Amino acid sequence: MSPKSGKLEWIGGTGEPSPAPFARARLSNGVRVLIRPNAAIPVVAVDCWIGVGAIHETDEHAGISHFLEHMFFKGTQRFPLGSMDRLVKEMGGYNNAATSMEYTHYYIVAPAEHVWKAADLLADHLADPALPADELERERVVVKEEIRRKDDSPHGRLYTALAHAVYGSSAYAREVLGTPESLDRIDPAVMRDWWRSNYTADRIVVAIAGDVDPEEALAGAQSRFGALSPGAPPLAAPAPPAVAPGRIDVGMDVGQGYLAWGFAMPGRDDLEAMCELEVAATILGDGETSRLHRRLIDELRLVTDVGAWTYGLERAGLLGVSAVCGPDRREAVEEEIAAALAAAVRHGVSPEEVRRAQTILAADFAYDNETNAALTGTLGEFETLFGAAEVYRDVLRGIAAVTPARVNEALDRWLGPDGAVRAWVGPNGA
Amino acid sequence: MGLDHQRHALACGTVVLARPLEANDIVVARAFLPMGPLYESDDEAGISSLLQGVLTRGTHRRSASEMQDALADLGAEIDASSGSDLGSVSMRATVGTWEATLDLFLETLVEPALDPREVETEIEQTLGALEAREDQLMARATDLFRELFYGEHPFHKRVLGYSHTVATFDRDRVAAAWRRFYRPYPPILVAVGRFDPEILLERLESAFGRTPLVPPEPRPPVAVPGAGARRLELDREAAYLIHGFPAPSWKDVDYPVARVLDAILGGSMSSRLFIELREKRALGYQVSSIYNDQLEGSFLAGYIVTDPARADQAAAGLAHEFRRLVEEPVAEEEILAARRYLRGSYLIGAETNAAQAMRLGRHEAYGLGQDFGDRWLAAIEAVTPEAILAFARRWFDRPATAAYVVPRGAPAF
Repeated sequence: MSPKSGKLEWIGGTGEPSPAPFARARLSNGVRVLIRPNAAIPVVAVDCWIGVGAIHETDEHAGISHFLEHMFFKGTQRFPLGSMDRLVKEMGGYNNAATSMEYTHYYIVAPAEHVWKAADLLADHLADPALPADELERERVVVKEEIRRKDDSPHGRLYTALAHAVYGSSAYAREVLGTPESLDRIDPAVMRDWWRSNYTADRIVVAIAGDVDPEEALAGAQSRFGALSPGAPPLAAPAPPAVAPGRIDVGMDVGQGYLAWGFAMPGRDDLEAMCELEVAATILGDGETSRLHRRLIDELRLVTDVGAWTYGLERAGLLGVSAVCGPDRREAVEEEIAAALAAAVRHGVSPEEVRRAQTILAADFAYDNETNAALTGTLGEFETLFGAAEVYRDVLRGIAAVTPARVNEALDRWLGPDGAVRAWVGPNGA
Repeated sequence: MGLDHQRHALACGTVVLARPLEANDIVVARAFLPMGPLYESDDEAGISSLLQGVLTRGTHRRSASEMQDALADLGAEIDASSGSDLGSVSMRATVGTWEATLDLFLETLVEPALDPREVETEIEQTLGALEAREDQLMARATDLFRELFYGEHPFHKRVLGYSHTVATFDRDRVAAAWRRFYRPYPPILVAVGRFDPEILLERLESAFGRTPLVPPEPRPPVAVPGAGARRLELDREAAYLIHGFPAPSWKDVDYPVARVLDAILGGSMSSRLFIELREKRALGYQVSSIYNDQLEGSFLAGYIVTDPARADQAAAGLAHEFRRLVEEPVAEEEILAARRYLRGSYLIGAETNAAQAMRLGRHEAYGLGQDFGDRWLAAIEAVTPEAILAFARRWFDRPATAAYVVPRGAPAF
């Protein structure tokens, strides 16, 4: 008998935007479980999050979190090699995984009747992955193919270049996929050690959404995930490097030019600044009503695509602008982007623009939380990154509370005149 | 059968499928009409796609930017796009904004401005998108495959068109395409989500009026598939290989067998292609099958992104997996797993309101009947190893169509 789990703590009422209402409990070993009932159709998503990613690695073994994600699917004692994929297919579901700078997660979406089979599979692979040596060799080749494919994509090359331009050779610029050389240094013992020290109960969050009874779901989670070994608490991120303006140009066999600029901004540890800059990025470059779209596409027809975005890790973030244009237009495009940003800093944004950005962000959040996999994605990610899934509500409220004056102060503070780090991918020799 | 819905015919003839739901706060409406490369000559390639791009850029009552502002203030979206033989215009809103969004949606359908300046902007955008597409190698390989497979048939063309065709378009061509395809309103409209069907019908009747729609033009003749191999060399890193054959279309008696076979070959990470080429031989990261199932002219292909030094092995591996199907029966367990996989994916595939609207609209537009999914899902129960073997011999025992995009100077294979 496994020890009793904690009680379900309910968060949010039924009138509230999704993913509320949901429940949380902490299992006796420290695993956190999030449950979001949804009877819309008889489907369920089970999503396991581990708070480890590329930023927690060493340069020597860069890419090991992602490599472990690949090796996760190579069987356990109870479920030999190939069973995970076969059993999920036989459920009529699908499974997948993703690794980022700060987390790794594994999920199965399946007809609701198979929820506990799905949870069994995930729990057993977290607790007892076989990590066989011969499979490690084969999978190393597959991950190198994944790197090759990324290097063939101009956008893949662009964001690699931007990360290096902004974060130099620090952990913040590390490639989630690693490099062919760092992958070669990972042997079965190193891999097993990475799994053992990171896939521990305190770093694991299990999110379940779909046609389930919450109490049954908690009992089911306790019996499957309650035996995972406790371990060290969530990892701390290293201190971010100082960011200095700079630029990186990359040549490849492409016809178009791909541009990205980044401005250093705070990370998630400054939620207020994050909300202000999210609104600022929306006004500058989210969608057809944004300033950059209106100017560079509608008025000047200079670019095919332009946008602004934010990227936030725990201790560092970026406000970015990206565009795709004919390579001969690079200078004009850069001038226009610089002018649009300078105008925003100098003259500020209007109350109408802020209101509209708030409406767009609230609606996008509703649209992005429709499926069970999306619901477990939001809950699992917030619980893993912020230590509490309900922080998504603070972000929604924070965005709704932003004023034009606060956006203007944030623009003034974070978008200095020469503060952008610039990356460019264009045709060879251009 | 199929997804529960109410069916109405408007005075003008447009069929409305309404599916009110309480599952979430989202409301989706989507109108469908025949258009796309199937109905375009070579020198008008891309006109359907361009028209759809211009359609949402303003009406007789408000400019493009006024329309965009109005939608942004509602947190709503209106999109239009074209596929290879069917186009659609859709709106997405929430329970509090759906009526106001519906008004903008109907205004877009009934009185689009097709403003000359917006046409020019959309042409510029499309030309840029076409150039950016040249940089996407999987897209290049797919284009190459389609050109070879469809030969002279209109399906060989890209939905976006080509720079030499799009550059010749102007406001008049776009307006002519609008008259030709819209006649003057879409024949099918589907709504799914938290809305009141009575309000929807009232607004639609008053927007579309009583004049009967002009019937659509007949579908052009069925494609005759081509075979052979074509190779394109670029200064890039990986090799992109596609290898395929003609396959049954929706109304073909072989369709359910093709679904089972496709699930065995490329569906999920326990498919034959994934296991044989990636898991056992580490030939690539991205490997799967594409079943381009349509009303006619369908194909089934395997693809892989691989190391150019081992591209010969990967190409042979793809060919071998099709050959195996012709030479030996699949195992009963593979069929059993494929059936469950297909049933589950069909259920999961209807998770969003938008996906449900798409399914209802496509079943209607192609005359498949709303029980189409239930029928082929029932028919897969009777699929046996012998049926798959006979099927493979009928469809795959012939020269393949193959498209290869490889780094410059890659060895021949």
